[in-house]
Amino acid sequence: MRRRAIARPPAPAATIDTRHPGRATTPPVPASPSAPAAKIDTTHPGRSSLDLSAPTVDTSRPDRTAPAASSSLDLSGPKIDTSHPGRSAATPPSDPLDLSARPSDPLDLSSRPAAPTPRPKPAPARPQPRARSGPPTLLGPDTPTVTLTRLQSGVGVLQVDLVTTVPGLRLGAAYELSDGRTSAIVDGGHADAAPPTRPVLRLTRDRYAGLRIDLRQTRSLRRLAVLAVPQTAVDWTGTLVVTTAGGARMEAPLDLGHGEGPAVLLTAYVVDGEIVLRAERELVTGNLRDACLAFGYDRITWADDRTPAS
Amino acid sequence: MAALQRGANAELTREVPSLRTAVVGVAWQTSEAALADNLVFAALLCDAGGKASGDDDTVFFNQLRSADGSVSVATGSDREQVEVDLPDVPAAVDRIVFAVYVNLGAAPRRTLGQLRTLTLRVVNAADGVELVRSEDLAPPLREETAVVLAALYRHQGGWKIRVAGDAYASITELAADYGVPL
Repeated sequence: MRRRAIARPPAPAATIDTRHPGRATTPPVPASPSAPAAKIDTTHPGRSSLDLSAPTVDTSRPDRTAPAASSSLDLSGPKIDTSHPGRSAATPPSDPLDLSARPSDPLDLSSRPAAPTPRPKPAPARPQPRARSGPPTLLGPDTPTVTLTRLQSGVGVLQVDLVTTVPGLRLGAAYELSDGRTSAIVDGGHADAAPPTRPVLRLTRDRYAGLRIDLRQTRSLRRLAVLAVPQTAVDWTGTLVVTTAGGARMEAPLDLGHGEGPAVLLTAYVVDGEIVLRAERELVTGNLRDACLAFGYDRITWADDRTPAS
Repeated sequence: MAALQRGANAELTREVPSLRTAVVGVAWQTSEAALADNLVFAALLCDAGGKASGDDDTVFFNQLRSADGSVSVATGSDREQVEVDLPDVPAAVDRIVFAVYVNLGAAPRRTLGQLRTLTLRVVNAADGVELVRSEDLAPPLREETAVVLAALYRHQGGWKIRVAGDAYASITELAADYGVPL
């Protein structure tokens, strides 16, 4: 356990991924293209398949894989099943897009290269370890850091739960957005979500106090620090649990000893679209404002030492 | 041009042998701002078994380009676009699956059933000519929050596209079906 009472320099701002900028090279599309490039076979317009998992092959028709086919926009596929217009999750398909080759199947994929060359995998940009499904990843003094993949960092929500029986703990978070806006929210404070419009962070209260991070807005978040503020001196115990949308779980024990000031439990930095989590285990002498200052959140406007402006 | 119905496919490179870069765009209409804010268009680069391996094979707002560089997020006149440089797609990629999902974040739950329309189209990046457009895929959608719109796939040395419309309860289930680890 470390104790800290003085401010440390602000962490360097996370960099934005400029290695893979989205290209904007698409030319404008004419409102009425004069020459549609693909012809449509409308001789059997009502026979398209709505069930890709079990297509009924029309064997009365010539093999449409033949190059002499008059139309390559083949709308004459398997029969329509209008009772199942969209495959529902209650009956998930065995193969979500069954394009497997069949001798008489118009979707003949058998012409694939016999031995495709495996694609090279780039080296990971962030430090290991990675968060994985299965047993929780322990974030302790020896291995405090874990890096989420871009998928884990961009799908669903990242749920942070303060699992503890210690009474009177108020969960909160200091944050900095990519546009520079910085503030904090704390359970019982003026706001339970931030920023006010389209919140990235939201405090929750189910069985335990929690914090939900909206990962649709990952690119809007630069960094955050998860804090807990006791009302009186406490013996810290419990676990901070972080869960991804896919069920990967990270756990940081809260065996921080005895203290009366706030604790910074976890920090998160968004780097190249990846969220890097670090268990901090920092007991701070002082109040919420001191805890935020200790981690470089020095641009927050405070109503008082415990109340950040939203 | 007639809209491509679910299950129907179209030869792209047979009709346009010069087609090199295909722009796959999606458009939707909804009166729910909270839904529109949380809709995500994604492309999954799948092997012959229909599986994608992870970040390297997924292109969406938080991964703007595939590891091999052949598929990337683009901007244009559609709501969302993905560009595919067909000759550059690695041989190990057998099909590219396009999906839309609702990111169930901090906002109240929204579903794809709140969409008024949902269509996908393919445009030749070289001249802007629209090659195919799907039928409206929104009407059958109800409580689902993820849907596979179409797949671009190899066929006899070329590329075809097939409209799907397969809906899932959530992106988690869709990802599991395609082997994408979340």
